[in-house]
Amino acid sequence: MTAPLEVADPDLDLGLEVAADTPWVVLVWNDPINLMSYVTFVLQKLFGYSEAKATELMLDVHHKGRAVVSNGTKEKAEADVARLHEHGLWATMQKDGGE
Amino acid sequence: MFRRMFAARDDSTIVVRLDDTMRDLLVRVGEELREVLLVNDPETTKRLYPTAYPDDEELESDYQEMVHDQLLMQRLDALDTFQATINDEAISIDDADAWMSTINQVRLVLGTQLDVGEDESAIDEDDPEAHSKVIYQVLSHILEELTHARIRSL
Repeated sequence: MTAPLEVADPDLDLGLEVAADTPWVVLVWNDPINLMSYVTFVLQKLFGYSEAKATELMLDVHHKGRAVVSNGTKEKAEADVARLHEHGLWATMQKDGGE
Repeated sequence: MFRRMFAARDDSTIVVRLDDTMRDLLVRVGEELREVLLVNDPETTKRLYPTAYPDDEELESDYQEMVHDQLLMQRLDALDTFQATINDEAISIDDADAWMSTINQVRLVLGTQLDVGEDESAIDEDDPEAHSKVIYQVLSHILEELTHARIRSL
């Protein structure tokens, strides 16, 4: 049997800060240099997307000029952008709804 | 005839079937990339360090300060692995990722210098940049084949 959960201090505003943190989205932009197959591979490798999902996102990038590839807190989005930059993709981030 | 340059094996390694001419080309572009990375001329390397916050100069400055050296170290590490394995007959998955990173970095630098478009298949032999464009296309072909071999291991 597990121990009963300790009741949290009601004075602690746990969660409010997270809720107030507007989600950020990470965008990958079309560029004439990165190969379509390479972009699909990077999206699969970094985010664990299936080949079908990664291909769909890659085609959005290619045809629509950009696609949202991940979202989350500012810190997560920044880490995702840095990994995409490491792999040579043209990625930016912005607050959700800021497009 | 028309044998693929790379072949994924069941033991998670990739067979490399590049001839000496191709390997010599990769050695040369690797050496040139190291110089580009270390000299770090902003105009030449701008595509290697893209903007993360296009609409916020302060956040962008903080981001670049945070990641620039990290990205440089990652690029040099990949280049070290690439150069150490360039003559191997088979490479590991990690080696393949380093090869892809290095080859794509060269393409990003060269492609930016050449201002390439989506379709660059035809090259005029009188074009003063024809030699660079041929190298760019060869690197694109190598990366395409390596990506297809590597994707099988995901």
